[in-house]
Amino acid sequence: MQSKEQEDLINKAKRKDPDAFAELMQFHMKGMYRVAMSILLNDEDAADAIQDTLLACWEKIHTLRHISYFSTWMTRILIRKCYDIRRKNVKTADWEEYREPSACDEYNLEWREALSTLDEKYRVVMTLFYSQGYRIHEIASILKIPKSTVQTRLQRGREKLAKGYYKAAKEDKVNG
Amino acid sequence: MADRNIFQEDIVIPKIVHQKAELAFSLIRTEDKKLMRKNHIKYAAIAVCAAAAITFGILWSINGFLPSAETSDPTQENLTAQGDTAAEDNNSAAGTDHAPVQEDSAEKENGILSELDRAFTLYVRAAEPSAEDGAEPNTADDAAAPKSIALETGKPVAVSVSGNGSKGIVLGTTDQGNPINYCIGLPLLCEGENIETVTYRINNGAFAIVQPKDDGIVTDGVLYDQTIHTGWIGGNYDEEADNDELPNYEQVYYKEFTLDYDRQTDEDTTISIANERPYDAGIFDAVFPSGNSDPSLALTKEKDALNQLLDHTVITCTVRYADGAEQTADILVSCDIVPVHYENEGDYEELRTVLEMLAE
Repeated sequence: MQSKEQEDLINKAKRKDPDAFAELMQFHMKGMYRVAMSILLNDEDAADAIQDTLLACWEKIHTLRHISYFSTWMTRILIRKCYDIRRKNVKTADWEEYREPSACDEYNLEWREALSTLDEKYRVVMTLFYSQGYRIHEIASILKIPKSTVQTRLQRGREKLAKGYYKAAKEDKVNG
Repeated sequence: MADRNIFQEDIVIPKIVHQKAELAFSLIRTEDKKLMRKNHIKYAAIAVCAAAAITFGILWSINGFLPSAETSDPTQENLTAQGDTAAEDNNSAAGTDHAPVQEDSAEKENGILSELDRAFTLYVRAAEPSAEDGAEPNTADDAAAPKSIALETGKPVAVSVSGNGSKGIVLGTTDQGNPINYCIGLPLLCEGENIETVTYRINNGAFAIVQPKDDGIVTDGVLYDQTIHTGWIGGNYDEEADNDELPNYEQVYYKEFTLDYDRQTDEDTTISIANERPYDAGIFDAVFPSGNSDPSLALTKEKDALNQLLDHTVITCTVRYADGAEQTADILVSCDIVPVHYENEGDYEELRTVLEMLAE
């Protein structure tokens, strides 16, 4: 649910106030990073996708009809930008081969490991649901897939995470 | 789920993300400053002209040429001239292609829209999604359904049109050796603010509009001036019925037609593009393959043949705003093979119409 402050920022951004826009997008930066990483798994590409999204949102924010849909609208743009970037990159390399070492790799290690245990379709839905707090119908709208598909992916994502990441983490703890 | 949810734990945004974001923000601020300087110069010029005109008017009335001391408002004339110009910023990154230049919204009080208020997006119903868990084919017949996609420059969108069981493409001919015709569904919808009318024009062939007799949504148009015979999409097509005629419906061919913004679609009206091409043996064999043709190549041949028939067909959409200003967008029509998933049946590759907004 958007706060009054958020709504004020969105309205100002719609009137092309760059400072209000920057403040608004900084508020959403962490969420954008989570979503971008769930698709790209790479900080540099995620940063590029976020940058492209910021510019696209600035250009088009005046067309946003209902400010209550700002977050969904922005996320949709971000996901599109992520797919654009991925298309430009090598398509056939798997995650280990294609991923370049990043200076930021010391951060968020557990989260990255969890992401790497899942296929992209589960990562994105799990991120939108658990990290971003979107509801099923909102995720369906963002990804343009049926609600039943969202529910299926959430369930399977949870199962895979339990079998993959959490089981391994538990074993490490026991053996540790 | 386990004791803790890794997706809900806090994370650190890497430096590189902050750096690239800051770069974007500074670009935005720089762009904004440039626009403000531009507008200040423009408004200063308008103010100078206004002052000069008012002074002239006063002098004119003092000299007795005007019956009263009233003067005309030159600022209105200046703003009208400005309002008639097309949008200056042609950044074509998105479907709202003709991105506005920021201006003072006080202009709107004079009935003239600011550039901010002139932007439109063309939506098209997207083709069925590719293979997904539990994905269902899109069968709704409404161009404003949730799966509509905004057309963006350089990003083709495969169209989904139901009706006639044709997936939106109807081909025909009377006999081998006679012209080959096509009718291709066009579920377009224009959205924007302060738009009064939307006009579509086509460079090849015509628009074929199937509508109830005496109750069409077309408010104005230029009829196609050549004789053409094609199939049709719409008109409550009934597979069981004799469909040589369209009871209670008519099919009208337009070279150009105009719709009211508030009535662009109608459940009884279907808009397609249509054309008739001279007979070509290669095209005929591709679109009406015989039993001997290689099925593995059939779809590709049909796609190539359809694109030959379409021959770079471009639709020009012109929106007219409340202040009389107009903006246009060109859309290229072609065909392509896209993946389609059918629940309980599997995945198939099918031919679909593809629309792509062209750069200016």
